[in-house]
Amino acid sequence: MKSECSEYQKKIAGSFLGDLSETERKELEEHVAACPQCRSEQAGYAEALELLKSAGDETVPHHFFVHRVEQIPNPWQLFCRMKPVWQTATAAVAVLLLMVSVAALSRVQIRFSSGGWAMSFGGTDIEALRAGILKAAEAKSRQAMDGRIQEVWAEIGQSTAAAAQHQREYLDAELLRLDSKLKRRVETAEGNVRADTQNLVYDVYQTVSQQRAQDLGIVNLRFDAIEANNAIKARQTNNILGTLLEVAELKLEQTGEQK
Amino acid sequence: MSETADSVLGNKQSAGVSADQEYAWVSASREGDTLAFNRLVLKWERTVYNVALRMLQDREEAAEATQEVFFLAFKGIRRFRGDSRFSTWLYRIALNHCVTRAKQRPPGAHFSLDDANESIGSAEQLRIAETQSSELIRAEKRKRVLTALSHLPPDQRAVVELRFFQDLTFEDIAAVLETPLSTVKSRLYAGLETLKIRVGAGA
Repeated sequence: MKSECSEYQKKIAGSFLGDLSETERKELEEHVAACPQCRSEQAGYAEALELLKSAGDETVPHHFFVHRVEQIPNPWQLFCRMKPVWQTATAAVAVLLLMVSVAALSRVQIRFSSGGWAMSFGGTDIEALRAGILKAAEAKSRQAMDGRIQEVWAEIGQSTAAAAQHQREYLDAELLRLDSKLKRRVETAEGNVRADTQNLVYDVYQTVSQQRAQDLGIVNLRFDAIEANNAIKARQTNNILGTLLEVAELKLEQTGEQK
Repeated sequence: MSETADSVLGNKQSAGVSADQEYAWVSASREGDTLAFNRLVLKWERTVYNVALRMLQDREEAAEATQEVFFLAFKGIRRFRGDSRFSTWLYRIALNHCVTRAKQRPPGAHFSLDDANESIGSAEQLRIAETQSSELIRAEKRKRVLTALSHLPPDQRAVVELRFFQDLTFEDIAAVLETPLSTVKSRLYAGLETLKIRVGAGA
């Protein structure tokens, strides 16, 4: 690019923007006609602008609508919407209300005396004010005390009822627990007894069986002894009878001999 | 706004809508008439949507921004005193809003320039469009324009929009954007040069 061309670069852009004077435009035209590089530059701008101009607009994807969203205005917004006359009137009323409120709060005393209005701040009769305050405080205190007493009684009543209820519930629970415990113990005892009884019967059976066996042995022995004894006795009896018979025979013999 | 610019905008937007009619709608809108304002919306929605599209290069975001611009306009129409044209006032809202949105985007934000979202995208419309090659060529050009514009900073995009798409003069652009004339010119020169380079490179 020639050095003089650089001066025309901005002017080429300016010509497309409509930012050149008539003289500048003619001078540029003459230069461009003789300079291929600047013609190329000009063609570049022309192409870009032709593209922009010929592209056209797209259609909208959908229509756009605006809906009003109703909202409740705050007091300041309402005030701002008022006409100046109404704004002044509203402001005056607000200031008056503010003054009255301040006066009431600060205990301003306004009196008509000595032929005119007199306004004073604070109490002129401090003792009366103090007495009044004390009286009011006392009344308030008494009222509060009465209220508190009533509350305490109510609380006591509620507490007693609650305690009774609590005790009843506790006793019920304890009784239930004892009943359950007793039942468990009875069941355990029954189980034990059942087991003991079974053991006892078995022991008795064993004992009885043994005793019976022993008794049977003893009886057998006794039977054997009796039998042996009877045999001895029988032999003795037989011997005695034999002796007696011998004696009788002898006596008979003797008797016969005597005769 | 100059007479030329007004006539261009008027021809684009409001065939059959007179200036008196528009003035009546603006007056009614200032009194809270939603219906009248929606008539204005119907008249200007295509312009505002395309301004937003060229400023943001994203159809979905452009539609969103268009809705917001009309909402802002409706909220602020009581402040519109009629000392400038309604279009000037609406351009100001639209461009300021789009510049703000564009600046708030993270660097390297993705632009959806696919043709699928364009209004000729349905199957039936596409079939019709295939038979109308001129419309396809225009769609392709629009895509190239959006791509080239995406290389401009938002402030330059705004002046390019007003100068080359809305045909406003330097003075009108300065009035719409409330920017000094010298700034408007310097942004235009810079923007035009970038566009020339990008279009020449096949953007």
